[in-house]
Amino acid sequence: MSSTIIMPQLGETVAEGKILVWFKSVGDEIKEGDNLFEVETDKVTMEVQAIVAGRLSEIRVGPGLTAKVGEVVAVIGNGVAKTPGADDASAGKAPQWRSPFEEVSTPVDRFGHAKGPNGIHLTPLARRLIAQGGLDLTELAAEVQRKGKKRIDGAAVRAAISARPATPNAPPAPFAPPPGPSPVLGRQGDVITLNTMRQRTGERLAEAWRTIPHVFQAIEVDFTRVDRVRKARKEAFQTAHGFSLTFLPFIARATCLAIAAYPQINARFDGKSLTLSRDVNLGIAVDLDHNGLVVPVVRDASSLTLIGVAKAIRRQIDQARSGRLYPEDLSGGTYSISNNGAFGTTFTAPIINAPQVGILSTDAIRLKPAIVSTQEGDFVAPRMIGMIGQSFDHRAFDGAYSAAFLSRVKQIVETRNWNEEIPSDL
Amino acid sequence: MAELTYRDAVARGIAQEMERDKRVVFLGEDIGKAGGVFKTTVGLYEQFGPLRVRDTPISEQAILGAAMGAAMTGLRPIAEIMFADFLAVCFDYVANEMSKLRYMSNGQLSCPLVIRTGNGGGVRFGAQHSQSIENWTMMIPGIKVVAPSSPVDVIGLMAAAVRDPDPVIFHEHKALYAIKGEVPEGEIIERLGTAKILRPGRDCTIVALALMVPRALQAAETLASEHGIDAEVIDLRSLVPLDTQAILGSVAKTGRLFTVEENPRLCGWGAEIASIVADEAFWDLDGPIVRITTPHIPLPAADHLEDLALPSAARVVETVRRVLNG
Repeated sequence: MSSTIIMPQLGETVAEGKILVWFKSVGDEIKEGDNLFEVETDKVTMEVQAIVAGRLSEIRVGPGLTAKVGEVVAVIGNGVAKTPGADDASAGKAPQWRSPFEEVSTPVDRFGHAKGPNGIHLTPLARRLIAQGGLDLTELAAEVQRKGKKRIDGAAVRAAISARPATPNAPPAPFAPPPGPSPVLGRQGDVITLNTMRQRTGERLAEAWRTIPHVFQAIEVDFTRVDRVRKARKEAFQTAHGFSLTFLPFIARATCLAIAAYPQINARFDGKSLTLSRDVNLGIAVDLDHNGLVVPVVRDASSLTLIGVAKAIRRQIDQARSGRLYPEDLSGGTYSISNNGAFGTTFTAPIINAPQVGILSTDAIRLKPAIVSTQEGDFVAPRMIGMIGQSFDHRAFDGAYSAAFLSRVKQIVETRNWNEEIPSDL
Repeated sequence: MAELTYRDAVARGIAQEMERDKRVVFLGEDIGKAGGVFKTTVGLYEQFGPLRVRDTPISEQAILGAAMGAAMTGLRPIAEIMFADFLAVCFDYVANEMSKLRYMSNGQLSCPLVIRTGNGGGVRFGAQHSQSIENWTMMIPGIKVVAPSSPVDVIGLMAAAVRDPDPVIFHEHKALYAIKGEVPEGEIIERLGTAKILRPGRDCTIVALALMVPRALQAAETLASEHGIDAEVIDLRSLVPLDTQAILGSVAKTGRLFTVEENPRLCGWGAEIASIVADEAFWDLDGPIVRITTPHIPLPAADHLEDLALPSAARVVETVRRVLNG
């Protein structure tokens, strides 16, 4: 029996995908769930897994080639390598016979031992990912133990794989970041061909810039109180969740709360009507090491607590950086946040992600001299100050509405009792 | 779409099949004029008459014996055993007779019948009328076992059970009879052995059955909003055949598995699933498989004790949170 492998539906609006790499060669034994190939669309890159077992008998669409959704890209059969055009029916003869005692299929693979250096434990998933990703276990174990953990789990391995600098000789890692120019963007005089993701992003941005009358506003926000809470809970949070609590979740939470009062911010505009969204599906712009930009969506963000939103954002950023986003992660956003703080910029005027009507931008938050009013008079004091900006579609609403929204975000950031949002036991 | 209770869905599911196929007959205690002790069969006697809708004496053995004979001779009976606990009274028919007939007769005879029964606790009926015995039935070779959690699945799975060529035990949950759900017009038919992913998620897989399904869903919402844990909830719907592909596919994605079972822990259905996943999906597991079950005790009749014994949404939240966030 042979089975055909087709280019899967990779999202509602995606018609074709480009195969970047085949993880298997003709003649390889395939198990259900094995990664077969990596495919790139204009929105996302992802691995496609086998849903049947057998031997890969034919690859019809090789690496670098594009196939329409539904097109046959390979055949899994009895493993006899075939020349293109050969008869499909000959691909397999007898159906695979299974013993009645084989009620479950036990995997025969081995991916190392349950205990690693210094007696550290490894989950089965971690062991498989380390072996498939070609990671150095000693290095990873040391890193995990430095963090005070006794166990290496899948998340730790995925983080290590995504943090690893891309080397041309590395084996095809199952969670490789999207290919393209290396993080060092060439030397002077080089011509860089943009990958599909960047080309499509470019087309969409140009279209949005051409058709939407953008207005940008920014407001100065005092993050001193947020910073105090953040610092006080930093270590407990890091220990509990394995990543640090940044300003972004506070801003995202404040944005969700402000949207409740200014719902037109969270809407779609089609030229004639503004459709307000029930949920806040918050897009978070993520830079892929200067190799493209994706905006994964945190669904129903307003239902999440500060901790919940922090974890959801972190998860989406991790998934994006390790190339593990699914098409549904990138659709359905109703408002977006662009965070450019890492490089110390003062403000950024972002382009709206149509058909959304606004996008928030945050930049560096740092100590600045500020005027503080007290009963004793006004004083100059060092405060943590940052800009929160918004580009909005002037057809959807006016400057006063946007300004009132920004002012509300500012008020929430500055005056909310953030301690209450973080459980004391963390 | 019209809303229907789980209770009314039982009657509609039976009526759908009795209208379609004259060979479908229905028998049990007080199921006729009385409309069933749980009012699940109201209107069937009036619609189909005393020949096809038959009240029986209080004898589980008589009910299943008659149903089996009818099935062997060309009818498609649906038999009611009022409380699932009472399947023990007629277990010989279930475990030794109807389930072995096709095999023992080398395919000359078959037994296309459905045993409907009120399973599970939460309704203060005490230790002999509240047990969740789906695991008793799951263990018998030759019997199929389904347990719907929603009105629409009651109808669809009832149709699939009646049309199946072999005996099927259909566990209705007594504590779900009052729930409502949307049910489309027209014929509804499902496929046995198909689980439903009711809530997609990334961080862990929660597998549940019957009354535990709404509780698992409620827990998943709390886990998402209060703890940032994105749980995938699977309604198994059918224990035999078991949709292992749905479970294994989900675990391949999440790396973590929790079962929420109303049956007592020892040899509960989740143990079988844990065994399959530990075997086939070993290299996808990112931590221990955790079973959330009723403890191995006779179910108490006292309200608070019964509530404490059965897995609650709060217990699911607490267990998942503790295990995942440690």
